[in-house]
Amino acid sequence: MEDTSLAESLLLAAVPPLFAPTRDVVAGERTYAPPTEDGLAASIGFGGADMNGALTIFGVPASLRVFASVVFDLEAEDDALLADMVGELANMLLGRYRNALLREGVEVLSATPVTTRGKDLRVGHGRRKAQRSWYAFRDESGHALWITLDVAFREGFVFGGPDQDAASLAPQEDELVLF
Amino acid sequence: MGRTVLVVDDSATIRLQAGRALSKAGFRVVEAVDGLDALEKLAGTEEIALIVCDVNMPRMNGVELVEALAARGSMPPMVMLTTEGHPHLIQRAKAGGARGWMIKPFKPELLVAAANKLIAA
Repeated sequence: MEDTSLAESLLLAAVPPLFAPTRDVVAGERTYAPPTEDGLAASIGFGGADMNGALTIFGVPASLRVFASVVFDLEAEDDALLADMVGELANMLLGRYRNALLREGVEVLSATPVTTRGKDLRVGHGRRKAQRSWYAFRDESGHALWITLDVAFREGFVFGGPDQDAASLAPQEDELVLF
Repeated sequence: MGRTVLVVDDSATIRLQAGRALSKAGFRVVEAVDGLDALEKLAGTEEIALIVCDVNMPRMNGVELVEALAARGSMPPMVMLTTEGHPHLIQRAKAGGARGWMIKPFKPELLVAAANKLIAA
């Protein structure tokens, strides 16, 4: 599989478990931009020796409140807390993505998320020209979370296949390990 | 034994989520926004029985906080609460004296169980 496609597929596979088992979220349409209506976008960068980029999520406030309440079991009492929740959602999704990459033998570090609110939000391209797709994930009520991935690879890099050692050592999401 | 927990995270959401879970279980909760803020809180008069700490934070990250407290020779039990899962980072925190590692999103009942176990130990 071509590396950008694998990089994207690893991210897309990480989305539904973030909301399970409380809510079924499935991948829906694919477009070149998120909706133009008022919404919040959270972007978080990542980088390592083999690849770097940014993950961005977008949603309208009503939908983001639903998704945030599923993950955090909290209601966003004000816009500031909602913005923080969206940033933390992006952070958690990147965390799952990073662990998926680690299981493929790729290590990346993460930055801190930045959240923006507005209409017709657009995310600029990185240094390298990249074709970006936005994927809509919808729950059974039709609430949508839009996700996109910017990624660039080290010249000559190819995914080497699953790293069984890394997979066996990394803790799973929701897991508690006491030393 | 005191039951005050210091929750250290740059995310207000996580501080709120962890704080509510611990408060419901009868713990008193103090918050810090990063490692440096945590050091200031620890220098205060209130005795902290447990630290729940994120890893990726500005100014001073969680592993740096573990190592700073270890160097001082004074560290309450500490559980890392983070999206990080790299074994090298976990080993570094463990070597510094951290007592546990929990991956976000977390189950509140697991956090409370860890707090009860580590404070009682």
